[in-house]
Order: sequence, then structure tokens, then C-alpha cells
Amino acid sequence: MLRDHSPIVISSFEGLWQRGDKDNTPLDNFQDCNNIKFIGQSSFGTRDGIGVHQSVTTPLSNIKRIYNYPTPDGNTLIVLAENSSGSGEIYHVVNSTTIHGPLLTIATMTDFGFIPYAGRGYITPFTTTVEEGLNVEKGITGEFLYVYAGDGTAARKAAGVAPTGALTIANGAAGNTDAGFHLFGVVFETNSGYLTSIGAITSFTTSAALSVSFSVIPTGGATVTKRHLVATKVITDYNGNTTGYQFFFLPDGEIADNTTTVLNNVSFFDADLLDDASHLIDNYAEIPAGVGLTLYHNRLCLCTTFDDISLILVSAIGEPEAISQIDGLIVVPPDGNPITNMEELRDVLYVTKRARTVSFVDNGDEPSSWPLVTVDNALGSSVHGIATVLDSGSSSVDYLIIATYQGICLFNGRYITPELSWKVEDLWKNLERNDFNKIQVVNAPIQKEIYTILPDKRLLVGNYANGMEPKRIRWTPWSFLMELNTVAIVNIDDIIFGSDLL
Amino acid sequence: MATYILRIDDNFGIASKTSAWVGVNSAAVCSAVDADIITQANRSSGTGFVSLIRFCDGVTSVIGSHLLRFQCFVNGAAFFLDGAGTAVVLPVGFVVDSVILRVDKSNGLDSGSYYINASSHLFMQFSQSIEEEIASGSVGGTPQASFTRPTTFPAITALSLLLDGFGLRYTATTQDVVKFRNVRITGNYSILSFSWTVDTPGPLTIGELVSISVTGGGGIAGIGTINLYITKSGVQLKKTITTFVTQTSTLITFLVPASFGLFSGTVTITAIGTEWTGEVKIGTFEIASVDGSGIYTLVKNKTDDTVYVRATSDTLDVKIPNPFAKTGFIG
Repeated sequence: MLRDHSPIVISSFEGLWQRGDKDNTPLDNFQDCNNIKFIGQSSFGTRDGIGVHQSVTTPLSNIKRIYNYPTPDGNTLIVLAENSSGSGEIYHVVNSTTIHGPLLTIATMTDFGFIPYAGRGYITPFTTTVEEGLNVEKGITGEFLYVYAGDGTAARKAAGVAPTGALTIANGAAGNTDAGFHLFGVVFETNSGYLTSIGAITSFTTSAALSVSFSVIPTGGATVTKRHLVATKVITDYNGNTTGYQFFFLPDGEIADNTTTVLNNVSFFDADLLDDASHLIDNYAEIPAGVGLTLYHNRLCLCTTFDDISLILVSAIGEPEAISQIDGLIVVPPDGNPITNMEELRDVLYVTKRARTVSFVDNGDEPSSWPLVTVDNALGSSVHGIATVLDSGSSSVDYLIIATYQGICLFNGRYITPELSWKVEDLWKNLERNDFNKIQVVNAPIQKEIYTILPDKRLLVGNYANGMEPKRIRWTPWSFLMELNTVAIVNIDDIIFGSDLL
Repeated sequence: MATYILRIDDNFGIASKTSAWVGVNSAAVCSAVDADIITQANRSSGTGFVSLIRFCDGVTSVIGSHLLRFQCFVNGAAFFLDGAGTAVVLPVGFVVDSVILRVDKSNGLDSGSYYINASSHLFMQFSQSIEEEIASGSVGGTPQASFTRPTTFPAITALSLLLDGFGLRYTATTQDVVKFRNVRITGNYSILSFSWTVDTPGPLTIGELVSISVTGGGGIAGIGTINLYITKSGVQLKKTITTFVTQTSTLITFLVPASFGLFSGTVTITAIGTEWTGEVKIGTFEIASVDGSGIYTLVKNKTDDTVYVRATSDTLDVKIPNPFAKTGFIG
């Protein structure tokens, strides 16, 4: 050692620093790095390698998007791949050797939104269009929300059409009714539990001492598993508007199949009509496709349809396919930018556009009455910009991680500055803003790492083992021989990557 | 070999001048604005003439050091190639083989030496740290005594001309008249495209090494980006490579990427470097099907990457691409 030389000791390595002049890079940070991982509190080494996820003769290729799909039997993947003719195909990858699909094939589908619910999967196809030079994601025109049963059968349109035609109604055997003019109708129930709108509405004047018999009860399509008869109470001054009255489920009016067309001798008093069915009249028979799906207070929320980029469709509680065209709509004030994300945090539904964040709070009334609160008029996120945590895009330790134009931010009801990506601000600011739709973020709390797909298809990894603070988090890019464009997390801490083609 | 002339015009004009310099040119003709000086610089007096800087007659110099810097502003559309009458944007692969900077010592309109006092000096500047004095000489003659680059310095590259431009620095130790004219840059150029060799013509597949060497010198060390082009179903697709396995002055290697899809055929290689302009085709190689897309899993403590190889319905283990970390500057 040279006399009087004072060695410089670097006792820890704090990851990538790309902020300002390279000459000012702190000694314990990296001017540049690639494909490293952080070990313990102060060391680093070569990143872990990747292996193939599928052990089948023809594994899926050209992967566009992967979601975690928890089913009653385990954690699986729902995957969008582009086939050789350019169409989007959705598959259910159960494990390394079992794959179902394609469940759904749509020529113009380049991306999709997904939410699991009660073992089923809800799928909304969307694509990116260029409007005035900006990439805009919105639901595909003429397409719809789909439901997948989780069993390998093809996905089908969610919701369903109402029965058509008319009932044949006659007095039945001796029984009980409140004598007078009633309207009767039929509701289909599908294999996903959805109750259609009321159809086959037919009038009949009941007699006091007689029951009512129904025939020519319409049957539905292959997805219909049950049918329900509905009726109004006595109408004393009928005005001819068949849907202008309150309908109720008949207590004994369930037909537990899709074949029987006769139900005889049904007795009921008006006082027995308690289970309201009127709200079904306004439900969508086909729910238009949107961009994002989320659950809020056990309601399914779908945003950004082709026709209205500022609209959110909210279902009835516990009925994800029952969305009222009147009461189930909430609107973010239009500003020319589409809604990109919806996420619940601390009982509040937060909604983002590319540079705006608002919130809605369930007030116990219909969604259309929920009050809107503006949270931030400058920061928002792109379509996959809210970090997925374990099995769903959601909060962890009471915050969201959101990729904004400012950087990767913690969000706990407000965006916390400085942003988590403060140390790599130049890297982030140099990303092509119009390609932020390619960013996808996953938070792996067990590994204490954030995985972010960048627009250039590299991966930016942030290790927060030393603390989730802007100056403590350690960043590094990862690159691979192939280009990554989607990331998911399953089984608590398994990181899954998807790679597409040029 | 062909010749070029770089003239001083709107695309290669005044980048900066000191306030002191303005003071020197305070007479009517050179009233201290850029446009006037450019006009003067463009005053041609015949074929092959390029420019003229004429510092005003009868104006005495301010004692001190004054700098006038010329720089290219717009894509280099200031080059006249092979005696052509109009300027062109530099062709792809343009590389300067030789450079001559020439300054005539009198303005032709007013005879006299470009500097009178032997203790005053005129320098050509080529960067912040490189300048060379224009040798003094007698007045008269056509062309006047010239100054030729390079003499003792490294050769000027096309890039240095375009990015750095050049400057004229005048150090006046007396209040003597300063006159000179005909600042021009001439030389030979060539188009880089013939000296590359793709050592691995293929067919190659995922993860195999593409090796490119150069004979005849230069170029590879300055490559920052290699683009690979294929044409699939009538559509040209591009994959950009910025991470190289090897990069020396004579050799560059990189791995066949996994994202070309189900493709077999010819890949065209182009490069963008610092020693020439534009994107230069440097060769081709054949590729076998290299679809490596698919679903992957991060495996703890795995020391390599395993990728799909569709062509053989198999997988391939490849090294993790160049892990590295570079600390901040020490000291």
C-alpha cells in the first residue's frame, strides 16, 4: 500500500443511480449495472436465472399478457397469446403440463383485463388505438365482457338476453291468489348465476279461489340452467306499459331446468311477493368490453368502453354480471383521457387516468349516486401501472404502488414524494411517455422486490429489503435474451414472465 | 476516393463569438451580428472558393484574445461533394479521410498581411484543448499561404467537424489591423461499407454468437447500436442490439436474440457508430427459426437462463447476459 494512501471502503452497494451528472454518483451506488441481484443488506451478485414454465410439446408463444388466476384447485395463469394470423387468443395454463384453450379468440385483441370471481374468470378484451398521436386503450368496439367457468370450456359473453315470446296463462286448480289484473314474466338464470332481464311479459287476471297455470314457458340458450317466474301485484289501473310496474319473484315460480315449459297450479298472495325483480329490467344483456376490471365492495367494476372512455360500469353486489344501465354507471369528468385503472384502498375506490386520480366512496346507495372526490390532478397511471400484489392488483401494508409519469410512487390516499424511483429519475424520465401502456408492475412482498416491465422490454427491479424509501431502495435493470412484456406473481412468490415476438 | 468541401453557410455558421470580438468589428460592414459575419464568410470569389471572412479595414484590434467559432447546426447540410454546386446532407457511411483547413492571409480587396505585428497570432481551434497557430507569412500570392490540417494533432473526424466545428482565435498584443479571408475546409472522404466481414454467416439460432470483424481499420470501437432487420410476411421488422459480448477495435460480437419469431432467412445487419454518419449496412447472416417467446419462471439460485427453441421443440441454456456493476467515480 502506498504511504499515506487512505483506502476508500465501500461497505454497501445501494444499486443503480441515474440522477443528474454521472460524476455525482455516490460511491456506494452504481453508475450503471445490469442483471444483478441484491443479497442481504449490502452485497450483490448475478441475478437468478429463468426457466421455462411449460413442459409440453407445443408451449404457448408470443405472449402478450399474463394474469394470475386463483381457482378453487390452485393458482393458475390466464394468458393472452397472439397466434400466427395476428389474432389474440386467451388460454388457461393450469400448470406446467395442462393448458386449456383457446378460451376466446378475437382478431383485434392485443390486451385484456381480467378479474377472478368465485372461481370464475371475467375477461374484457381491449386494444390500443392511436388518437392524435397518443396511444389510447379502450374496449374493442362490438366486443363484450366474457365469463370463463374455469373448467376449460370456452369463455362466453357475460350476462345474457332476456326471454322472448309470451306465456300462455290460465286458471289452475283450486288455490289462492289476490284476484285481479297481474303481469307475469320469466327470468333466465345462467350457469354463472346471472339473472337476465324480465321477458315474455304477459298479462292475466287471476281469480280469488284459483291458482295459476303457466305453459309455453320460453327456454333459453345452452348457458341457461334455471328459469324464474315473476309477477306484479294486482294492477288496478293498467296503462299498457309492461315494464312500468314492480315485479317480484313468485315464491314457487322456480323451474330448475331449461327444458320444462309447463308449471301448473301456482298459488300466491300479493303479500307473498317480497323478492324484488324490477332491477333486472335495466340490466345490460351484453356488457360492452372495457379496459380494466376490479372488485369493490363485492361489485364488479369495468371501465373505459369503446363508446365512453370516462365511464365505469358497476354491478349489483354479489352479481358481477348484473349491471344496471341506469343506476350502475359512474362517470369520471371527461377530459379527453381514458380511465386507465381502478383499485380499492381502505374502502375507497380510486380511479386513475394517465395524469389524474379521483376516488369514489360507496355510500350504500346505487353507484350512480356515489360522490366523486378529486385526489390528484397531475398524477395517474397507465393501464397496468398499479402494482399487482400476490393474487390481485391491490394494496399491501396499506399502500398501492403506482407507476406515474413522475416515477414509481407509493400511494396511501395521496402520492408520496419523493417517489420510490427517485434514484433512477433520469432513467424513468427518459422512458417514452407514449409507451407507458407497456409498463406493468408487480410487487413481491416476500422477496421485497418490485418488478417493472419497461417500455423497452427490459425489467427494472427494485429491492426494498433495506426499507421502502426512495433513498434505501436498490434498483437494477435486468435483461434477457428474449424481450419481456408481461409479469405476474403466483403462489405467493413465484415470478412469471411472458415474452412476445417482434 | 472523392473530395468534399465544407462551406460556411446557414448550416455551418457562427456558433459563438465573444463580446470583445464584436468590438473589433464595429465598423459598417461587420456590425457585429451573426448574419453580417455569415454574409461575409459566404462571399465567394470564384469556383472552388468557399468562404470569406473579412475583418473590417482600418479597424484596430482590441488587445486581448478573441474567438469566433463555427459550428454545424442542421444535419450537416453544408457539404459540397465532388465539386457539386449544391450542398447535401452527408451520405450514410461518410467518413473523412483527410482534412485541410485553409486560410488566406489577405482579403484580396485590401492587400495587407493578415496580421502585422509579429507578436499577434491567429489560431485554428478544433476543440477546447486543441488549437494550432496559423503560421505567419508574407502578404500576396494566390492562394495565399495556407494552413493544412493535420500537422501534429490527431486527424479530424467527420464527427468532430460536425459536433465541435472549429474556431478562429486571434490573440492581439497590439492594436494592429487584422485581415484574412477564405476559410475553407477541403479533403477526401470515403463511404464506409466495404470493410466489414460477418465471420458467422450461419445459419444461426437463439443464443449463438454473431461475430463481425473489420479489415482496413476503424469503426467498430465506436459502434453503439447494431440493428438487425428481417422481412417477414412482407413487413420489415427491426431488433436493436446495444449489449455486445465483445467489442474491440477489430471485432464485435453479440448473441442472436430470441424475438424474431418463427423465421428462417436472411438478417441484415446495420450499425450506428461515432466515426461515420448514419446507419451503415455491414453485412448479413442466415438465421434458423429463433422463436424464444413464451412463459418463463424466475428460479432462485439458477445460474443460467433456459429459453424455448421452437424450431426443435427443445430448450436451450444460455448465459445470463453480461451481469455487471460500475461504481461512481472514485477520487
